[in-house]
Amino acid sequence: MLQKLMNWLKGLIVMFNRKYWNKSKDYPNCILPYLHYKLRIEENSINQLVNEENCVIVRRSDKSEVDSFNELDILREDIISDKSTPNLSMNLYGSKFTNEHLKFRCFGNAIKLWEGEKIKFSEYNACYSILESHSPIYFLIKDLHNKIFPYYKTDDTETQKLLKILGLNIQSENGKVKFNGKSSVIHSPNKLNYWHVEFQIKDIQEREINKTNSAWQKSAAQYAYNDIIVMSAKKNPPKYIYSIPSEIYLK
Amino acid sequence: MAAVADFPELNRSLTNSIRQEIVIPYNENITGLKNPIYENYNSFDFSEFMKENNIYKTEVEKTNIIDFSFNANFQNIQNKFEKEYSKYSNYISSDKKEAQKSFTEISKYISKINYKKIALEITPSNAVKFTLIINETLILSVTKPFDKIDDLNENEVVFNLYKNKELLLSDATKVDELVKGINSYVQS
Repeated sequence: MLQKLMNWLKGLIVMFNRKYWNKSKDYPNCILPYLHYKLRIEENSINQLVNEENCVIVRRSDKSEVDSFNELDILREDIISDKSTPNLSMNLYGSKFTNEHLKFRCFGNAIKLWEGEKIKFSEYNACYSILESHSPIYFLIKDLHNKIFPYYKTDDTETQKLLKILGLNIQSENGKVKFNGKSSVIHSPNKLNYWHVEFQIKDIQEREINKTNSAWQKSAAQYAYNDIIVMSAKKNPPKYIYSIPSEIYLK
Repeated sequence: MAAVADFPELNRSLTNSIRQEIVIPYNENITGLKNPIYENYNSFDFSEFMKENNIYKTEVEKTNIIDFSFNANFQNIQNKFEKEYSKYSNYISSDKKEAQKSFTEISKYISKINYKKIALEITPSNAVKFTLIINETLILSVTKPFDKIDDLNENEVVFNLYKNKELLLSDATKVDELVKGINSYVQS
């Protein structure tokens, strides 16, 4: 009797699976980190990719293509906020990551940094959602990495002290001193996406700016966003996309 | 028909009344009108003038303001703003009427820049941002906050000039000086 009931239940599950299980909602295993992958794509490998003309990075816009770009095909300012510019999430294109994967938004434990362990997907299957409306924003890694942007600090004793330490003689204008920061692309694989990279911004002392609490941090994020992100964002990828060689990421 | 310039006194009174009504700036590049009154003003109400001088024997009804120097750039910008406003007016956190007024004021100047293409956005930071393609290599972005900001005077804007998408210059300046500067930079 029990066996019959079990068989009936199994049949019912199979029937429901066939009817309601939508394969497009399955998280793509191909973008998970694997044990035979390098823990990080190192800086020299990133530099190698920067030297390629068409090495592409893609970021998801939560809005449609029409609402993401203006009439001149320039990224709209409301697509990425100043606050999210430091450590802006992006994905390395040209290997396993494709546009199909943009709809998966990870959160919670899934966005923690991968530490080289074997990923058991069952531990994260509640840590992603699927977006209905989204569109890709393409970048060339060479347009994002090692780029200079300005930022401004109030001309106070702290700023004067900094100028002294750096041996710089910068005149203040309207009570503000202009410094130059630098951007970089860092490989930052998370538990469910090995191809996750971050856009980092650094101050003149090459210290990472990861908050926008103070006025100068906010100005750095604004300039990095307007001068680097907006100016390099593309509606369409280049015709030829550089294919990332396996030695870049395999152990 | 007698020309307005033939009546100096009337010309002066019209001048004063027009001054209060003008919304659209004169742009001689577009109008090409050389009559002295056209050179100073671009739109006015003709009806009073025609009535007083009995230019037409029939009674003339009051007419609407006529824009003689249809400024295509200005009109184009206004149309773009209307479209943008219908979609993104929620980004304007200050008084919406004041914001529209401020936009109209600033677009009078922006329309005088020699650009090839233009786009505008209302931004979440309560500002209007113009992006202008000046030529094949130059892009100008001009931002005007709708709110009063300590660092920025009322007639000042923040601008970024990019050459081949690399930042060339970034500053805050008076909008009329920006227009002059950009136009002379492009011509040089």
